[in-house]
Amino acid sequence: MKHRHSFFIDKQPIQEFFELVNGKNGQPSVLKIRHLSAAREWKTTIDVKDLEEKVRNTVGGGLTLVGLA
Amino acid sequence: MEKGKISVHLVKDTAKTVPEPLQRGFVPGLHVFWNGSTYDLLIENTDQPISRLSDLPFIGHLLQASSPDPISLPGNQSYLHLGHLPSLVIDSLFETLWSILYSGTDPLLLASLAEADVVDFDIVSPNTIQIRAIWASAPRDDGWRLDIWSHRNALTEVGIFGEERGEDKDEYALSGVHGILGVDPEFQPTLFTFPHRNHILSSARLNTSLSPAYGSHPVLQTILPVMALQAPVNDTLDSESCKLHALYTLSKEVFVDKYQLAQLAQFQSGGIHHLYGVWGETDLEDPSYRTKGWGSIVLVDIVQDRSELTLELPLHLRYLQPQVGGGTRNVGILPPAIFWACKNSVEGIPLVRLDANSLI
Repeated sequence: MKHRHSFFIDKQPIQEFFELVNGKNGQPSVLKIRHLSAAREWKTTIDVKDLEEKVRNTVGGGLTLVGLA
Repeated sequence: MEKGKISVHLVKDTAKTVPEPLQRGFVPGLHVFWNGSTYDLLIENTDQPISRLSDLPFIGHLLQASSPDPISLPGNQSYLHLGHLPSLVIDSLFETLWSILYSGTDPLLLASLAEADVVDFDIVSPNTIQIRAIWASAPRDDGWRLDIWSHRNALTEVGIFGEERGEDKDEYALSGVHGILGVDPEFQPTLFTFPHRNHILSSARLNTSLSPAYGSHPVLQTILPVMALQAPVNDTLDSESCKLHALYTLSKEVFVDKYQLAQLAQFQSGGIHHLYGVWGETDLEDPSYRTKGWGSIVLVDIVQDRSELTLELPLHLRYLQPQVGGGTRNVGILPPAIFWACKNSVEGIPLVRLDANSLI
C-alpha cells in the first residue's frame, strides 16, 4: 500500500509549518503539520491481493463482500 | 479479453473552489466511467462483460434500481452522471471506502474523507486500485493540524509545494519539499516543471444564467469577462495553439439540437466557434420519462475575442412526467466548465475519466 500526501500552499514560507521527527530503533517517523493553510490531495494505491485477503476476512460482513462479489 | 477499468468520482458543490493545480473543471455529482470488459477484481469471476449497472464491482450495489442508463462515449466507454444522490447512498459509498482502507490508513484520515470536496476511486489495472481525495482548503481557520506517521507495511510520501513559474516553454512549476517518511532523514528541496496544461477557469467567478428564466426554450448564458478570454500562457512557445472551450453537463430534462449548434458555429454566433461534439441523449422528441440515458454532454470551442463575451447555449426542455394533481418540479442545470487547452497539453492523453482535462 502506498500513501501520497500533497499540500499546495499559496505563497507562504513552507518551512514554518512542519516538523519531521525521525523514529529511532524501529519506531515510526512522524511529520507534524501545524497551521498550514493549503489545498490538500491524498492518494493511495492498493494492491488487489491485499484487498482480496481483506475481503476473505470479512466474509459475511456486508458491504465489502457485496461490493466485490 | 481486455480487463476493465472503472472510475468513480464523487464531486461536491464546493469542488469549484479547488485551486490549481488540483482543479480539473469538476462537475458536481457522482460520475462513473467504465468499459464493457471483465474485471479481475470479482471474486467469482464469470469472465463476462458487465452488462448491468448493478453488476459493477464496488459501485453497482450502491446505485438505485431507478438509476438512469449510462451514455456512450468514444472509446467504448460508458458514463453515468447522477446530479443528486440520496444521503443514504453517499453514506454507503463512504462505508465501502472505509471498509477497503481501514487496516492500512490512519483513522483520522479516514474520518476526514467525509469532509473532502472530491473523492475519486479508480480501478486502474487488474491489480491496482487508487483512491484519491482533495480538500480545497483546511477544514479549520487555523489551517491543517495533523500528524502523518510512517507505516511498516506502507510507503508514505509527503510533499508540500507552492506555485512557481517554469523556465522556457515549461510555463508551470511547483517548488517545495518532499520526502518518504521513515526512509528520508530530512525533506528534500524539490522542483517540478510541467509543459502546457489545461487551465480551468473557476466557475465561482463566472456568471451563468438562463434567458429567459422561464419557458421551454431558454438559453444558458455565461458571461466571460475580458480576463477570462486572455490565454494564460502568452509567454510560452506554443501559446498560439491554446483554445478556449466550454464543457456542458446536461441532465435528461433538457437537450441541445446539434444541428442548431452547428449552424450557430457556422456563423460564429452566441460565442460558439466550433461544435466539438455532443454525446448522450439528443433525441428531439422523447419526453424526459422515456429518455433512458441520464442526459448529455456538449463540448464547444469558444470564439476568442478581445472584449467581454456572452457564451450562449440554446436549450430545449423535454416534457416532464405528469404528476397527479399537478404541481412543479425543479430541474437543475449546471454551469459549464470553461477551460483553456493547448496542443501539447499533458492532459491531452486520453484518460478513463471525462472532464475538461481529458476531452481535449
